Amino acid sequence: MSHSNYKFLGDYEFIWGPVRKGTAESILFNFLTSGEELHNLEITAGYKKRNSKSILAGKRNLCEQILLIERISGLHAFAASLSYCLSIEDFFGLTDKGHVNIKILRMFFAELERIRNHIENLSEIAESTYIVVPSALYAYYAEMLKQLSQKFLKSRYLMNINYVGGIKKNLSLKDMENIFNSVKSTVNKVQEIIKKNMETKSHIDRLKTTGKIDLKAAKQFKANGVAAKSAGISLDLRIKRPYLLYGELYGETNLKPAIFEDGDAFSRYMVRIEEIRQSLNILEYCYNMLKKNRFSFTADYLLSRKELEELKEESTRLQPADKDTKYGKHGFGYAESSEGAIFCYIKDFDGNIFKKINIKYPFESNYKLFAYGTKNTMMMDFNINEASYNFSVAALDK
Amino acid sequence: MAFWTYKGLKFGIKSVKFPKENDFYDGFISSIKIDLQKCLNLMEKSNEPKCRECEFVCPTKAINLNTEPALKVIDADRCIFCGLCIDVCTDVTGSADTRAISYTTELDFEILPQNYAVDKKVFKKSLFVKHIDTGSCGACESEINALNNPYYNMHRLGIFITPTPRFADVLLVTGTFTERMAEVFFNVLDNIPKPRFIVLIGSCALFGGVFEKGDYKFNSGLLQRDGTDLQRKGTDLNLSPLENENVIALPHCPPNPFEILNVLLLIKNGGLK
Ligand code: SF4
Ligand code: SF4
Repeated sequence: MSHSNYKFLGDYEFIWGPVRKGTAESILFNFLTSGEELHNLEITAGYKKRNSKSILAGKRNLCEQILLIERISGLHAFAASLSYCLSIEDFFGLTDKGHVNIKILRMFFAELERIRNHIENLSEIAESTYIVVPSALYAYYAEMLKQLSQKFLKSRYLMNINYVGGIKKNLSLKDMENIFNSVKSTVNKVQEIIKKNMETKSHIDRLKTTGKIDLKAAKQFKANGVAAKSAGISLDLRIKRPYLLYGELYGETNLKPAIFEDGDAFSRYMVRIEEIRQSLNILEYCYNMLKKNRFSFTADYLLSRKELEELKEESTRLQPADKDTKYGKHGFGYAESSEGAIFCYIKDFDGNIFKKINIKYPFESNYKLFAYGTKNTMMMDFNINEASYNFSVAALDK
Repeated sequence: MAFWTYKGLKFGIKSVKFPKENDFYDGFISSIKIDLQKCLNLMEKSNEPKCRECEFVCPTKAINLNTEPALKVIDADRCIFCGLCIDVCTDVTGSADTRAISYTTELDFEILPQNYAVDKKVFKKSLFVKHIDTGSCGACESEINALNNPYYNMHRLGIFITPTPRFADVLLVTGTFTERMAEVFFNVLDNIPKPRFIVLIGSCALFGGVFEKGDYKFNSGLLQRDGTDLQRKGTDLNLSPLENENVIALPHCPPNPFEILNVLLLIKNGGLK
């Protein structure tokens, strides 16, 4: 461990992990500290590396690949599968052929996932500052959203929904209305807690200036997602490189990117709060659009298995010629998850599956930024700082 | 602070009555069943199955139409509730009413106590649980965490998560059992005093779930390990990781918090055998 550059007289090292408190994921932290102040942090990941890439290459069909991609990081299942499905559609030249209602539905669930993850994170942050009642309330409302997902989509974590060309679950307009209304009332209750929490000084004071990163560091470490937004960088793909219908949405409504400047835990907290509010607006937009477009059932827009087979055949026929180009034929897709961009690059379609899938989560760069940002902070604040990033070790280790 | 105490009291008790009542929420599913009257193969038994669509489509090889008795055609312990078999069955039989496969909504799943040596109440007081992640996706952790929220509120039942293995009675294992976590796993396990229980949470911990490679080595869960390639540090033991342990395997991906709670209660109250 290269602590030596940072060592002061009297500093000592201790390690925490890979098995940590409560129900944490496995990762190892090596601290250099004087007791109160943290002078350096080395993070060792890789304990739960599952070699997803090679396992993906052994799957039988696209459907199985999607199921696995969802389970690389279960909390970002929808965003990841969306990113993969979009890249497949890009590969097959389907991007513009998809029905607009399917795009709306995908936006709807992506935002639902974002709201749920943010509320769960608010619960963790509240817990890390020892205000247990709001923490429990947030957790309760996040649970309500999971139950809602289970009721309508048969999965608490929005798994098994996305598929090439559409979504697999059959939903009616009435269902969508029910989901929207329930989410709306849940978010309204959450917003009441947020409002009251803002007045809880002991909570806010502990977040302010904790784990501060400046714009320069954020740029140097290529910060992503919430961490970037909190330091004044807007990389939100929904706005920068709109996919699905986000381009129209941001044009029509006056949603502004959620950007804060201070780069501390409080800014990250504020980004989440702002995004919860915006996501609810997007849900409303989606629901209204569905009504306007006379949506009745999802099943109306599903790509039939026959159509998909035809596409696959066509694409295998096309491949040899394309192989001469520099990169061969490939597909590219991305989606903005609650924590940042998930990119997917695919190639080598063998008629059933993609042999090469590169999927990139936002956590790698954020971990480096986090380690850098903890230097010379208080040990006491470590939990708050870590919670404010909402890491997924699973996505890092793949 | 006084405000939050007041607010907490005003919020009232939102916990479920479970286990006193099975008051599950709308849409709760815990198992998958095949209707012998509706399945094209099983309704009139012939040697040549007419349709093998579900068997073919299942990503975890949970379905084997030749299984006897026919009720066990779907191995619910391997099911990850992806719904693919239900979709093809609907396609084949024509409608949702005629399809043979569907989810069940009662608390209806088999837990698999392995190597079970005890049959009475082992722990007299509260139950302390330690969790270890051996390569999960994070959703199983989230479900265990959910037990702390006011809806399930497992504290009311005297079950607590402890940060240290030394105080633990139960080890909850999630994840596919990766190579690097193997040594850590034994380290944690050896620090838990006996009598102790191991609960394998989720398809990953059982057989690797969607990550299963079929070679029964690392990344394929713990149930099928014989331990021949696992050397426990400091010993020349070559044990299967689960040998001589009280093990309960809890399938599904991820298992519902109700199911996890149910297993912990069974351990706490005894009567598992
Ligand atoms: S739901 Fe999925 S995993 Fe379960 S039996 Fe059906 S196809 Fe297999
Ligand atoms: S069993 Fe499923 S939910 Fe649990 S860790 Fe494995 S992939 Fe994730």
